[in-house]
Amino acid sequence: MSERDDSRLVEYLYGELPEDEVRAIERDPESLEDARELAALLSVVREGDPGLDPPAFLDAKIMAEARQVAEAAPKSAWRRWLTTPVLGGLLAATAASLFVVVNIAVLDRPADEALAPTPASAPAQVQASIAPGAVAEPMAEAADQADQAAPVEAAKLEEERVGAAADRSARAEMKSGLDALEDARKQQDLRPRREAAAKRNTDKDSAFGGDGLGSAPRGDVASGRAAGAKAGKMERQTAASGAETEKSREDSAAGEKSKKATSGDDDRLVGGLAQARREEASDESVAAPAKEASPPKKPAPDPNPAEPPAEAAPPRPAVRAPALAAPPPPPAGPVAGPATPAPPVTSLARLSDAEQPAKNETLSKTAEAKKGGAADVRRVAEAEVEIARAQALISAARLDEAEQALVRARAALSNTPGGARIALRLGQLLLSRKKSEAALNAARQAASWTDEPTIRQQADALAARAKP
Amino acid sequence: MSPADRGSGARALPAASSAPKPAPAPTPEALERAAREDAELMTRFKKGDARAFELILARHRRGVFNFCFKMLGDKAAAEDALQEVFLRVVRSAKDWERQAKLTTWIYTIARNHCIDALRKASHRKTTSLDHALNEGEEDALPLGDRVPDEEGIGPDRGAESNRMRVVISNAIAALPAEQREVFVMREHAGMPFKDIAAVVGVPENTVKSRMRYALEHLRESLRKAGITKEGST
Repeated sequence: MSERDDSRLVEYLYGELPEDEVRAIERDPESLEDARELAALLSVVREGDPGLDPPAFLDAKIMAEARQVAEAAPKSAWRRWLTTPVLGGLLAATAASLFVVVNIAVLDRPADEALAPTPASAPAQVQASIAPGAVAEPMAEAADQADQAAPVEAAKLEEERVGAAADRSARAEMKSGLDALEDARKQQDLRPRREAAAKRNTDKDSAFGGDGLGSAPRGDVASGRAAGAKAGKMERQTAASGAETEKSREDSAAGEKSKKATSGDDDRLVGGLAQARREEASDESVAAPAKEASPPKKPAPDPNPAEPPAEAAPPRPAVRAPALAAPPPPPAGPVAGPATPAPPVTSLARLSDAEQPAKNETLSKTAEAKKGGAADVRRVAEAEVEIARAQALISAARLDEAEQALVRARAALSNTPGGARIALRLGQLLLSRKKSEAALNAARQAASWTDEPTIRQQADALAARAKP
Repeated sequence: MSPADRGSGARALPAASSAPKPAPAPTPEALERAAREDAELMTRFKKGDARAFELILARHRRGVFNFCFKMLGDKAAAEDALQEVFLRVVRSAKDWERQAKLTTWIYTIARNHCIDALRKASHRKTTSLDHALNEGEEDALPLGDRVPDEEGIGPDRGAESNRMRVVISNAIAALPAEQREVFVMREHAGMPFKDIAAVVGVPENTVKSRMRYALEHLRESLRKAGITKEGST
């Protein structure tokens, strides 16, 4: 019998044969007889040997293993969260903490930056910051806050300080940078303040004993270009009685600051030489101050806790402060931007008048922001955002939108000296756009919101030009 | 004396009618549904549902046990084999793919285990005639008692059933291994020939041919034992 016949017979026995082939088998007597015998055999076998049931106890070990494997099997995400609430809670708490920390950092940064261009603080403090001897008090208040943060980073910063303490030669270079700054000061009629700064410098040298520069990375310290910046920092640190919270920030922008420090444009020394350098940088591209404005978030150590630092969070060189304080644009109007693609800040800077006092406010603004309410900070931040937007829009020649942005910035700082400046710039923009009446209103607002003589004079001049 | 000459000493196979009644076979739909349920249970087990594996075990434990018992010829060895097979299934569950039929997979594991066990046992074990073939059965008889005598199975009806079982068990045990595994998978596990072919690794027609030879061997063994289709023992 062939394999094919075997297959057909078996299929017939198990009922798997097609109907036509079933008939073919049943028509063949030999095949039919064979199939009968095998079917009978199967019946006997099934009846006589039905098979055995395995003992139940065998399942116990198998199921124990199966449960073990099942527990180790990867579960779905929601089941993991349900079954491991502790882990889930920890993860959630970590995420929440990160969120809060990041938010604080993000909110803190624009607040500092916003203070530079927007004179939101009281005019009295602005004037006080200009006065040679009046810097210490607000800065000391802010320094108290820095003291709280200093221990957190103390170990890390101590390590940096020790590592850089050997850079004595750099100090000599910084001295020369300090001399360069001194030369710059001579070009301005700020002799009393210069004397005060020199006095502070002397105090600082004695206070730090050479280690005060140690927090700077060696490479930066050794850099000749950094000398001026370091000198400026040292002087500010002296004025701030040891606060070093801006040291790392200063280091990151050391080269550019060095250039600025020797440019000879510094006419404001009150509040520290960093402020003066920012003013000098106002005529340069925004890129340099931008670097200053985004310093590494590395708080400085408190080298001498007994001596309260005068600067809690030293005023970060604001990105837009120089721009806002830059000389006003030519009468042709603010639309005329630079030939090369310039940052928006530069465009707005040309639109504004020279507002040198505003630069001096930065330091006091920072201190005030540190101790001021969150609402003020938020308002300042909003105004800052709007100013930045206006600058960008002016660069893009979208003056309508720029005007609206300035209006919003002015609203955010209404009835404040900062608002007065914004109103003044808004008036200039309006006047350049032949909106004399609106410009006149803006000029009057600017004059009424501030006591600063410079702003008032500019506002009056603007009002005179805007009068039909 | 040939088995055919045993006359009244042979038990008659069921009298076949004009057309033999084909053995009941599960329909293709039922087989497909069972395979789908197996796959679903295994998927659940892979996701961590131990209860699903309990159901898998309940569905296949008897078939696997009988397969191992028939292949190994020893109840204790079959119990060990059952545990070992399912433990392997549990531990290898992560490697199981849904495309593979669970029944085929399990019986492949069982077959491999039995082959290994037989290979090991062949070197150290000899079966005595006093050794009961069906260990664990209370009425298990020594192997010597199971060899049919010249007169065939005795007339005692109560003992006849036991003797019939012994004869059939011996007949199955005497099958060549390749025929025995096909016969057991078909008869005790209810596997379709296609799946048996997948387990054994031969074409389906070869499986059917082996089944045919197995039936022929069984018929011959039963005939020798005095069991004929014409009459009773």
